[in-house]
This record gives sequence, structure tokens and C-alpha cells, in this order.
Amino acid sequence: MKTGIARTLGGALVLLLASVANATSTSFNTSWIHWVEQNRLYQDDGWYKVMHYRAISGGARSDVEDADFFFAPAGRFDPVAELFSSVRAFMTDTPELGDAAAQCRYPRRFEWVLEHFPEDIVFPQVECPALSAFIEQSAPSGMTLIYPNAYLNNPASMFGHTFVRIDGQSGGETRNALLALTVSYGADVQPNENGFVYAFKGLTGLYPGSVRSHPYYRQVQNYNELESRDIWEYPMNFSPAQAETFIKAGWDLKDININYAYLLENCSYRLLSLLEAAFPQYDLVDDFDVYAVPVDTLRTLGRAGLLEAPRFRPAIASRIHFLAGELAQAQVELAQRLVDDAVAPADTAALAQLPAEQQRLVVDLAYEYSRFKAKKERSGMAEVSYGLLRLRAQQPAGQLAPPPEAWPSEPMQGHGVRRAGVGLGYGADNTVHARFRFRPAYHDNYDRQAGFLDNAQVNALQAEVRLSVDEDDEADLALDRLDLVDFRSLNPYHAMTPSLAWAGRLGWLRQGPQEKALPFGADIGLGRAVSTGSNSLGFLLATAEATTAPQLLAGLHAGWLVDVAAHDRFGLEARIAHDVLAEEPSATLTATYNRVLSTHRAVRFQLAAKTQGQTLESSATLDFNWYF
Amino acid sequence: MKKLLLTAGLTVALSGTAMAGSGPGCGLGSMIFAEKTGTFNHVLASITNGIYSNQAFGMSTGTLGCDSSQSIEYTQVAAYLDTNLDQVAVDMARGEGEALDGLATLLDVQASDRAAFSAAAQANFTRIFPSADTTRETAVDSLMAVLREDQNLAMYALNA
Repeated sequence: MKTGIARTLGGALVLLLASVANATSTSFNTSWIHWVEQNRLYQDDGWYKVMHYRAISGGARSDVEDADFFFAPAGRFDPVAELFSSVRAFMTDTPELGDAAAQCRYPRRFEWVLEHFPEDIVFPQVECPALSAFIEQSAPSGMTLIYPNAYLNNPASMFGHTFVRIDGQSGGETRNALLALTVSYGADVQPNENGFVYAFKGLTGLYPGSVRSHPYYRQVQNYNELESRDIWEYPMNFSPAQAETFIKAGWDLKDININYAYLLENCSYRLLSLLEAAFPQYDLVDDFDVYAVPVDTLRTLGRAGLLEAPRFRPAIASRIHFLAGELAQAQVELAQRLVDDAVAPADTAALAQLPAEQQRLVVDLAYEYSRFKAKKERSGMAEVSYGLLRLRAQQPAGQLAPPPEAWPSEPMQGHGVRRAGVGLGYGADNTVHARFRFRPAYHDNYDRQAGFLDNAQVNALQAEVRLSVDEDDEADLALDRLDLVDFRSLNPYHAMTPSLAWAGRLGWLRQGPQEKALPFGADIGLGRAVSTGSNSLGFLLATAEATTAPQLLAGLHAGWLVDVAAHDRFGLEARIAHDVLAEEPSATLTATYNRVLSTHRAVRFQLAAKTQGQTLESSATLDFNWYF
Repeated sequence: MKKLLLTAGLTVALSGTAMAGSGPGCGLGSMIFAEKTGTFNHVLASITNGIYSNQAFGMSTGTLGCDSSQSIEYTQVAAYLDTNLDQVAVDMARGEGEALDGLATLLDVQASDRAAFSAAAQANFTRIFPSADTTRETAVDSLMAVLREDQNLAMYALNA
């Protein structure tokens, strides 16, 4: 509303000024116009960044689509007119306008103009109460980039998320981080919208999005506790003054609609764009033109030298796994009984037998477990949690958090999310062919695991092309595989954080080198994974698959994955399936070894054997993979 | 210093989202182990990259419905606890923690008194949280009573 008033007033004044030209007392008007022309300020890289303009063929276009963001009628496409209109609006501000003044409405834009104009061109002095209060409330001392980890069970969060925390200070010391304010960009999802609508609108860019601010304690509650996502916190190399400038850049977009598109115009891209608006000396969004994932945001900022070593804030499930690892099995079982049997006297008696230090940890573990369990099973769990806290209050003070040695690898230590591979294949037709593979995102169960969510596979738009020479010595190029999505979650079952193992794939896959058809299929699996040691896991899934071949298959998929050396992984997977339509069983056995050469390079060797009816086909592939 | 903390958010909350029928002050507030998830779709909305629904820049008190009879300090504490009551409760039971430190910060407890503050909270846990249904209002009232009884901490108690 205020924006509307400011714009109306601004617009009216601009018109007024234009009509009276140089006749009034604003004699400096012409001099600044001349000055801007002479210096071609509207071509300045900083102006482009402050206004989120991108060069397009034949001109420029702002990423911001909302007309409210501009003073010039065609401001979105006209950096020149927009600069003149914005400066006129700033010039004609009056103190009475307060928060509705152009200077208050677009404080970063105004700050940039001030920095670039000569000192003898003066602007009206306007107080901005709302902005000043917000900055005072933030009491900025610096900034931290916040990265909640990926979350496989929701398509919108598969790749993680990024936002900025404005760290506060009081009395010269850093204020409690939970009280800090955050600046984030996201889609304005309606509470009653379902997942499919979300996915569709997100992919097609139909979502309105906006920049918003929440206290960090709400974000921590949301990510760490409700969604059980670990959070990484990267301190950024920015001064208190720079943090204030960043707040202003966010304020410029307050109540402004910015479309949210899942692939590119998402939180990662917009956040970098916002950082550029605040700090035009950095080129951050140039790296992205098709899509961006949150870890790319981290890498880009890391390359610019803006990030320091991160701090880890474990999610509830991670805290449970950590505490369970600190206790003997019998004590973990006691913690579980304390919850499952609702703090029964027999269990509290057993607890009292333990040394004081262990009692404390057992109760802490039981409490975390009770809160995790309460997510699914609410009846009575509040009483159980409360009973545990009463017990805990009688024990010595203290908390045990995972020490840095126990933290997982931080996301930036991971391989690049794009993967390109060249390799050789030897197939059933006894010929060798070359193969090329490309996966724009993100990570599979055999890739180097460090830095990614454990045992979570997310492949999107993975393509595999075969180059072979036929009988006539003619080169033949064929698409063998194109996955729209290929997901697999193989988290080992943990009694306190029970989870299913599951897999899902949607895409085209050629059945064999001689096959002409490239059928489209959907494949799902559901089952359980179990830990078979500190560095290995086994899984068993019941599967169902339908293809346009046509096939209708039901079967089982079992596997065993083991970490070899630091980063290498070996896996053995077997599938048996029965085709309901062809009344024909089939079985496949695959062995895979991924040898990691460096963070971004690996060699993968795979042997496979398949029986179907009376035939036995075997194949081998060797791929060299780059990650970038 | 303290008085200015979080005022911008307060202004927005007071003018915009007063909760109907929440009674005087800030109402009872959430319970320790309040339902925070809601329906499936609501969970989905909150876990997407766009957290929460349409909310303006600068909101820091969420859907809190305090009326103007409450002090700014009380409103800040109420807003903080309505999101965080379980985290503060477990920190009190453990006698330390970041969420409890956040509460101490909002109450302007000096660094030199933080340990005593935490110890008092732990020692009086069952008084501050007498049951699993303890509301934020009860917890705050009891905490203030505990502080007032302590010679060194009485100065940090908010006036009721």
C-alpha cells in the first residue's frame, strides 16, 4: 500500500517536474542530468546489479517482474529511463513521506545513487523509521550463510537451501545466534497446496516468490527439529557496515513479487543476485544460466573468498545417532525403553544403577528420541518427554554436542554436481562401443559420498549415448538411456529413527544393444536397508515396474554396498523380476566399483549379467567421470 | 539497548495480526510440546524452500497476538517462547544451552549472571514447568517468580 502511494506521488512529481522543466528552483536538476549523461551512469555495472538487470540481446531486462519495483513505466527493460526516474523520485522526496518516501522504499538503490553522485548534488533528507528500526533490531555485526542440508523426502528440498543470517551484536559482543534475523528468498506457497501442484508450479516458474525475514530461531526450529535437516553455518567475510547494506538490498525487494522457478530462479540464484545488489564488486550470478543448486551458491561464494570454515548444527536425528554412538548398546536400549514404556519404574530403577555421567546421556538420548517419535506418534508422548525432563533436571548440568571431529564432511567438500563421463562398453553382441554419459545433477550411491546426504541418490536428466560401428563400418549413435528422475534412499534402519528404503525411476531405457525400441518406464521399490558394519549396508526392496515395451514386472532388488579405502565404493546388486505380460522371469546381477581419483574425478567399472528366458547376456563398462 | 531490540517486528505484529479472542496480554501461548506440524500440506508448505506462507519482511513475532497492555520485553519473550518453548524447557532441565541463553539475552541477563540464571532455571524446573501441559504464560510467570526470589537475579524479572 505504502509502495503504491510512494509511486503515485513520485510519478506525479516527476510529471510535474518534467512539465515545468527548468523554470523552478530545481536548477541543479539539469546539472545532474548532464552529469549522469556525461558519465553514462546508467551503464554502470553496479546500476545493473542493484536493479537486477541482465543484458539480453538488444538491451537489458530486470529479473524483477513486478512493476512496483520501477519508477519508469518500462523500467524493467530500460535501465536509462529507470535511473532518471529513480533519481527524480529521490530528489522529490519530502520528510513527511516517511517510510513511503522513495529513499526509504528503495534504500539500497538510493545508497548506490548517493555513492555515485558528486557531493555537490544534494538530496532531501528523509527519515525512514521502519527501516531504521529494522536495522537497529538486527544490530548487524556480520553475516553468515546458512545451508540447511538436502532433504530427500520432499522434491522441493532435494538439493538443500541457502539463506543469509544477519548476525547481531549487543554491547560489542556477538548476540545469541538464535535471535538473529535472516534474509531469505522463497516461493509463496499456500498452506493448502499439495506436492504435485508445488512441483508443477515450481518447475514452470508459476510461483510468486519474495524476499522475507524471519528470526533464526524459527528457521532452526523448522529445519533442525521439524524436518530433521542438519544446518551448516558459514561465516561470511563482511563487515557490520556491509551487513547493513545487505539489509537495504533485501529491503528494496520487500513486498515485491519475484517469480520463483525451481531450476534457475530459485533461492540460490536469487540470493547471489541479492548479494550482487549489495556488493556490486563481486560477479556471482554469471556462473549460472540454466540452473543453479544451493551447493553452487556455496562454491561461488567460496571462490570469491567470502566464506569461512563452517559450523555444524545437527538435526534431531543426527543428535540421536551421535548420542547413541556415545553409549553402550544396553544403555541405548534402556533409553529406548524409557520412551517406549513411558518412563516405567523398572526402567528408571535401571537408570539409577548407572554412573551419573551415563545417566545423563541416557536421559538426553531418550528425550531426543521421544521428540523424534512424537512426530509420528503423538498420543502420550508429551507426558513421556516431560517425565524425562523432570528426571534430567535432577542430574548435573551440561550438554554433549558432536565435536568437530564427529561432524560429517561439509557440502563444499563434495564432488561437483554435474557429471560427464566417457567410457567403453563391451556388450552381448561381442563388440566394443564407446559411451558418453551426462548428468546435470546431482549424486548417486556410488559417487564419492563426502559432502552429500548419506546414501541418498538423486539423479536428474541423466543421459547415456552409445557410439558403435555397425557391420557396414558406419558409425551409429544411439541414445540408450534418459532418466527424468532416478532417486534412491538407502538409509540404514535405526530403531530410534526408523525409515524405509525406497527407490524410484522415471525414464527411457533401451533393453539391449540390438533392441530398436527405447521404451519409457516407471520403476518403484520399497523396503529396508540395514547397516552391516561401520562402512557397509545391505538393502532389500520389493519392486514394481511398468514400461511401454510393454512390460509389467514385479520383483525383488537386493544389494550390498561397502566403502573401500577412503572414498571408493564397491557394490553388488541383484534383481529378479517376473514379467506378468510375457510370463517370463528375468534376473540381473551387477557389480560396480567406483574408484575415486580426486574430489572431481573418478573411474567406474561395472560388470553385469542378465538371464532372460534361455539367454544369458553379460556386459562390462568402464567410465571415466568428471564432476564439475 | 534492550528496549529497541525487536521493535520493528513488534510494530508489524501489533498492527497486523492481533489474534482474536486471545485474552489480555499475549494469551496463554503454546504448550511445551505444542503441535507444530499440523496437517500434511501445512508441513509441506513449511518444508519447501519457501518457508512459511506469505509473510512480510521484518516480521519477527509470527502469529503472536499480544495486545498493547504488554511491555515490549514481555512480547519479545512471548514470541520467542511460542516458537521455542520445548527447546528452552530442555535447556532448563539440562542447566545450559543456546535456547536458554537466547532467553537470558532477551531478559538482558549480564554475562556474569548467566550461569546463575541457568542454575536457577534447572533447580526450579518443576516449578517453571509443573506439567506436560504447561503454557508459555505459566512458564514465564513462574520463571519471573523464581528470579524475583533470587537476590542476584531479581533485577532481570519482567514486571507482570
